[in-house]
Amino acid sequence: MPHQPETLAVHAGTEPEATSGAIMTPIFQTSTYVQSAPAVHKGYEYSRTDNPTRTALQTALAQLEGARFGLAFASGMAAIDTLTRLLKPGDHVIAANDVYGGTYRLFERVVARYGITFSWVDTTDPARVRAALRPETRFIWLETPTNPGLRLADIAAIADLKPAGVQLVVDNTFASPILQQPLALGADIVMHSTTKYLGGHSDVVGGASCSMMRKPTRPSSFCKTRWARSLGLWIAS
Amino acid sequence: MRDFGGMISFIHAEGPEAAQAMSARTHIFALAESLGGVESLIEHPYSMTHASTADSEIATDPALVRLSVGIEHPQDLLDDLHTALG
Repeated sequence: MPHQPETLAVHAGTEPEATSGAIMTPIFQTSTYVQSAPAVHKGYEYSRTDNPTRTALQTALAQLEGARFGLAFASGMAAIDTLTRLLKPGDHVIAANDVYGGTYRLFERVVARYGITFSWVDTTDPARVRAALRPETRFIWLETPTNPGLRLADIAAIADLKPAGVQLVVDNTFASPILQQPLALGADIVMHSTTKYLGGHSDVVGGASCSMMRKPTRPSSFCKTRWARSLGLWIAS
Repeated sequence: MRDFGGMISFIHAEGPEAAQAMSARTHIFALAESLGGVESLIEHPYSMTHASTADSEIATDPALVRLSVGIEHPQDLLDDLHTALG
């Protein structure tokens, strides 16, 4: 039987450490892992890609969002920037017309230089989202509640109207998975600045994205580009 | 969204200068970017977190004040806001 969010928030992703029984996940301060034969290892090759400390956090984030997997990034902006690598020149994005200033700046001043266009839409009205769709639309980017206006979008209604080939991405930073699980409402990807409610103590900077995709390998660039932005292990702990 | 969260935004009735001034007058609400911590924060998005949207099609109202409400005692937070609002 699946556990309630309060229980997951405490226990998800954590197992007693194998050699000592330590209840908290150790900080595996290692860059590389010994292999028993070439390409034969225990699932860990190099800490930029995977590290047990980061795995524990990613498992917890995925479970809290009801996702199949989660990825932890060095910041929320690193997570957003990496998600934009799913786009290619000529693609179009529908984005909420009230978003974090850093998101707007990244989209219009950096990503737009690569031939990707953005429509800033009042996403409180699903009809306006539908009207903004183009054949080349690949992302619908929601914040709900929005930052700073705290406007709400109907995630399920927008998921229902979205054509095949369009990914619905929800920045769930303001609600946190305790108040809202976008994937259960039909979103394809949910992302966070984990600096905020998931961190909760103003003492770390981090980010995350979670998806129902079975593995974070589609397209492969998604995984490759995030590798340089993985969350540090001391913060993951 | 299943319930209310901890964020509050409001447009100061006396305009942008009053919004900026009150943001600097609280004592428990710390004037800082970010949100979601146990401690309460106040900020002026137009000149802080959302400065990059100024003069754009999604520009933030310059009279908007954003609060991240922490877990201090509610009466202490209300008193702080009342004092700052004058």
